[in-house]
Amino acid sequence: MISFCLITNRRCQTRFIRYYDELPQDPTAFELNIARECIIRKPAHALFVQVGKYKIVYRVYASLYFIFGYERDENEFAILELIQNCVEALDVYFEKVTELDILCNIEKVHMIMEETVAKGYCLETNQARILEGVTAL
Amino acid sequence: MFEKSLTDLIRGIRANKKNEQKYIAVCLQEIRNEVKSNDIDVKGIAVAKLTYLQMLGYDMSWASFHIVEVMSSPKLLHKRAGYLAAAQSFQQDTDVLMLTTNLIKKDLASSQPLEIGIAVNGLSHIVTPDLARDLCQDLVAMLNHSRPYIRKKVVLVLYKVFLKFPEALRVSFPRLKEKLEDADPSVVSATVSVICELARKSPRNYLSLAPQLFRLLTTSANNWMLIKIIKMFASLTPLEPRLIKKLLPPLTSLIQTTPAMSLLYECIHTVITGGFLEAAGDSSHALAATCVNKLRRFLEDPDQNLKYVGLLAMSRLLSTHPKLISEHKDIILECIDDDDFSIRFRALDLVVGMANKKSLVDIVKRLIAHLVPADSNGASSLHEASSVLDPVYRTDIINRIVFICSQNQYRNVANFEWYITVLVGLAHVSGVSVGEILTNQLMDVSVRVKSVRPFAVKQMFRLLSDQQLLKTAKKRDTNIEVLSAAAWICGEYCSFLDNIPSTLECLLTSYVVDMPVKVQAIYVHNIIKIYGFWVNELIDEWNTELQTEFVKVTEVIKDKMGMFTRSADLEVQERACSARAIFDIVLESISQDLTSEQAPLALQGLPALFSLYELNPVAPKAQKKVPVPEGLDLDAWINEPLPDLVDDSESEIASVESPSFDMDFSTTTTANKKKKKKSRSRKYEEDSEDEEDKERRRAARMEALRNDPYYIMSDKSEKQKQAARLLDLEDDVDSIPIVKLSVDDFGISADNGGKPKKHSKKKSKGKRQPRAPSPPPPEYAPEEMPEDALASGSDQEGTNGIGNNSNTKRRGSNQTYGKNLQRKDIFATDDDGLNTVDLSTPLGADERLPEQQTYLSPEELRRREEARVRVERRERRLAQSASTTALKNDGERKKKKKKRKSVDESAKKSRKSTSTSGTKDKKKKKKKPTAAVESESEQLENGYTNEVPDMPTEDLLKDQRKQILPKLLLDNDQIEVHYQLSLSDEKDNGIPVIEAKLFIKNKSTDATLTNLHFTTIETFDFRYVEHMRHSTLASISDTFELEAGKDVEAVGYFAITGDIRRGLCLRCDLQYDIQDSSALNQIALEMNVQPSVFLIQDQPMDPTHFAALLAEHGQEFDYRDSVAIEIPISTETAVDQMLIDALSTITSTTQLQVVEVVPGAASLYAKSIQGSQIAGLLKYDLTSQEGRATITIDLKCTDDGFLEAFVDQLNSINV
Repeated sequence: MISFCLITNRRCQTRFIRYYDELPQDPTAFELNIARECIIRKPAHALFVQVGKYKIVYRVYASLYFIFGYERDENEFAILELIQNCVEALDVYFEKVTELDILCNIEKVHMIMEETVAKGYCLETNQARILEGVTAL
Repeated sequence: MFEKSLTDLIRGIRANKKNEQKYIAVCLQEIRNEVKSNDIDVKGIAVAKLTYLQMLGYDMSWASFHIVEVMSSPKLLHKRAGYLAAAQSFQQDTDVLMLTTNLIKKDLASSQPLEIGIAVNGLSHIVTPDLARDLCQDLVAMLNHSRPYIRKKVVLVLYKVFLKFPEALRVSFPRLKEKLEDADPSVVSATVSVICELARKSPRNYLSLAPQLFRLLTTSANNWMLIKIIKMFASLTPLEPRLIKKLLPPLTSLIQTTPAMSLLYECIHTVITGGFLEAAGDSSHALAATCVNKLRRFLEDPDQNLKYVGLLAMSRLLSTHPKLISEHKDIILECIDDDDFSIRFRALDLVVGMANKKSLVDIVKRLIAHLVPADSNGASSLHEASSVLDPVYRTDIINRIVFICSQNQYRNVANFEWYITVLVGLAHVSGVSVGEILTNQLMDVSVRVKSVRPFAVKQMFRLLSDQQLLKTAKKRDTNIEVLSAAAWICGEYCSFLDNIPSTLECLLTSYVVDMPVKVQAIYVHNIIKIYGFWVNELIDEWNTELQTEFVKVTEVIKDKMGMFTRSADLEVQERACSARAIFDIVLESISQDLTSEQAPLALQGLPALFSLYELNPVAPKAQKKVPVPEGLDLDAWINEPLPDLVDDSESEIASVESPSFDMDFSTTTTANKKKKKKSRSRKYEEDSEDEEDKERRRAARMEALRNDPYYIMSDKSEKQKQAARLLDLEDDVDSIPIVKLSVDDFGISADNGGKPKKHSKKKSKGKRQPRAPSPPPPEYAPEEMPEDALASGSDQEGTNGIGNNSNTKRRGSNQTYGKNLQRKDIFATDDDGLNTVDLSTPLGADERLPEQQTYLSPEELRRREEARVRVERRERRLAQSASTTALKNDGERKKKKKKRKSVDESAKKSRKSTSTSGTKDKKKKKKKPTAAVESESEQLENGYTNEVPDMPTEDLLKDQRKQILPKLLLDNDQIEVHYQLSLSDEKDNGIPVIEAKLFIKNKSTDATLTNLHFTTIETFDFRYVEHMRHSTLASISDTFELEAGKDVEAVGYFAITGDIRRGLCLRCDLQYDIQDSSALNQIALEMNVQPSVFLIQDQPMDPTHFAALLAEHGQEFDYRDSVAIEIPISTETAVDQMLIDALSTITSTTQLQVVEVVPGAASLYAKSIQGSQIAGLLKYDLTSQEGRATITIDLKCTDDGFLEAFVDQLNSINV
């Protein structure tokens, strides 16, 4: 089960955060710590890293880091593909998604992510069906 | 109108980068005002803005109530914002959550799917135990929602509900299970996710889903789902090893064909962790090799991600197939030097477990390279400066090195001089604080390994005199503690010291005062020790010249001891003072007789203070050998345990067992133990596995014994044995360690030139390896046993028990590394209510989802009241009609009495006779219809003797217990199975039990069927009763071997735990192997259980009681139905005979009793073992159709399901 899903930029500013487990003690510090761990890594490095009890899978798109964390029992590659799937869905919805899109349409991002990953589980992988719910609103 | 929208807020924040805090503070104030507004739009936007600010780290818990208000907004947009805010900010203890129950309930019932979606999504984040309890019924009902969009979300939210309210799982599980068959793939996928997660917590409950999941595995193309299914199977296989056989083909084909790396990795991972390799039998090695080769491809790939998971999977495989992994040592070692820390750590985990005698030196050398700063000549340019300088990383590396070398009682270390050199080298690593672990290691090794002591003492002397190390004494992170080991070893084994005065000088250096007090205390003590030894040496060659020299040295020492006496630490001070007192005594005694050629008496006593006897390690078995004092009963409880604690003990024991020190074997043994406990039917497999296991363990013990410093006994005979063993060791080519000394890594030359190098004798067999000098076999110190040790058991015993103090300590500090190598324990229990939910027992009638306790509206109350009254009225009416029927029957009978033409019991013989016996008489006589003797005088009336056939009489009444013939259950080429069900006379804990008799026949002409056995499947209705066995016949839980043409009978008992209803069946799986064929034969069998099986036969009903029963309890027979059975009438047989036959068929198949036969009709009655009663009136009609007669049976029953089942059975009767 995925524990949290974080979108952050290179300056470690949280652009989107959703916890599927309980909230950490100090969310802001927690996010900062996670983001830092990912940002110091070089492009050639593996996209998996362990931070504390969480196993982190992240992917970099331009200046944005999509970071998924889980504790156990997830397939690393499946999560990588899931991230790709989310980003593609965002991309289709915003027509070339940018950081500004995510920043200004945070509610829409929440909706799309909700359709893709619900309660920490991959819910829907079909992009058309993901966006169906969002565009209907 | 003038409020900021969310976009305005975001723009504003971006525009005010300089004073963001201030700007947000202003905005927050605005929001505070806006949420109080009466306009829901303003409120909604305020909450949305607040949610955004919450993401930036601002508190929004104060707005909980306003969030609930927004949640209840009719506008979808605001509702969304509200639910989102709730999901982001509510905690379990947020008090306003209580207010949301009805709101969410209403939203769930909405007609708009989007609204439901929002509510379901929101609920998953804010669900509390209370909400879960109140809403689970609605949610379960929504599983059948017409839209898949809703269904998939509900499935997922149910998981969260189960977490909070585990009771719901049991009741709603059947419904959840149905969703595996859903038409929509995403619903199925969501269900699989949830079940996978549930199964991870308690896999046992979900074994029954295996066939469904297997079908999905073979048919689905959704990789995400496949991964989940495979994961789930990985948690099921330990409980059901037979699954492995079935899963292997699809998994292997997936491994070979899938282009998706994620799926490939998952398959390999499952093959490794799911115990497939152990179960695959002959092909196990090939399979493992395939996996490892795939993994190697991962490692060779330039993609770092693949490297990472490859290493991860390999570390899982390490515990079972270390050999296969070490084949790829080269590439793994490369990964240690990888730039990427994620990969480096995974590789290190692997390397730690991979080390063996041969590879140890090389691995340690590579690890040490990580500690040494990069050279200028570029050899180590691979290492980033930061990584070398990072103290945490270096500490980790050092801990790993020590762990690798010391694991399994130093099994991997062939040359202890080399190890000492390594440890000394590690002490020089700057910027880390690993003094304690190094100290422990140095002391441990030199105490245990006798032969290394001279070398150790030399190295320790070096350390003591090492100015560089001494200078670090004042630094924060330092290994200065290591000097305490150095001092102690020099003191303890001072006989090996080359130059005692200079050693003493080192110990008295002025740097000492900067050292930790612990080290100082050890210094002081060892100064006296060495001094004492020195004195002892001098005594023999005592002369005046020597004496002057001696006095001089003593005075210097005493003088320098002064710095210790001023120490702030009490321990150091005390020791120093007593040391000085000793020196005073020595000096005084010498000064008393200056001219003596003999050493003073005081000096002669000095050595006895310290070196009376040698210090030996404690034998590992020592603790065990301490005899139990008389009268102490170790098995008796001190406090009686609470009953439920005892039940848990199994899992506790298991969890205690797993972090065992002996890594190579512990995992497999615990797994086995667990399996053994769990399943009795697989016992025969286990036994053989156990044997193998024992064999392997024995071999491992032998291996351990050879190298184990703990395994030397203190008595002489043991010593001799040890010597013999060492001799053996030299002959045994394989065990001679070939190690190249590589001590110059540190610039410290190992001083072992004086040692004669033994060359290994090579046998001509096998590959010849270049001759290499091998170190002398280490000589170990004898171990100590308690004086009153018990007579020893075999040496094999207690290999794993480690009784030594220093060892236990090490074990504690290194456990983290051991853990990495343990196979992941899928039984790991969380503190979770879900684990205790038992899905295997059927649902009881009283188990329902909790009704929500809400106040009813007045209308609702009135409606319910009306409904209640209506029911009552109906019941009353029924009761009345029942009594009138009874009366009518009576009346009719009286009428018939007039033209009474009673039929004798021998009506078949057509001997008619008139009888004057009255109705009362007749009734009385029927009390015991089964007794043939009494039936002699039984008479029945028949009004239409000639036109209408007689109703069958006594034979029907008495011969109801006809044996039902066994029914065919299975018939294929090899095997034929019949079954017969009956009610057993015994009960299991008061629960009625069905006896199922199976007749199994091997139909084939030549093949023997082996390993034939049934696996009973527990359903909600039947539970297999293991402890009941037939007195003569075999039990179906046995395993059979059937030769060609042979047959066997087996009996199983099933407790009836469910209600009797339509379509009940007993399920079991039949498995058998055909000799000389590898095909797996597994057939699912279903035995239909007809309601007639449940009927009690022993109490015949007499018509008086029957009438009374209907009159008194008529209203209980609330359910009615009627069945019509058509009988073709042929001209050959008499009509009456045919009707008699029909009735007898009906009664014999349904086991209904004929209570009474009247002209044209018969009344029937039966009672089930569970107390349901059924009454029937059978009538026939000859006129309706030409050539056909119709029998109508009107049935009344006290139980709905029972009646339904009964009607079903009647309808299937073929007359």
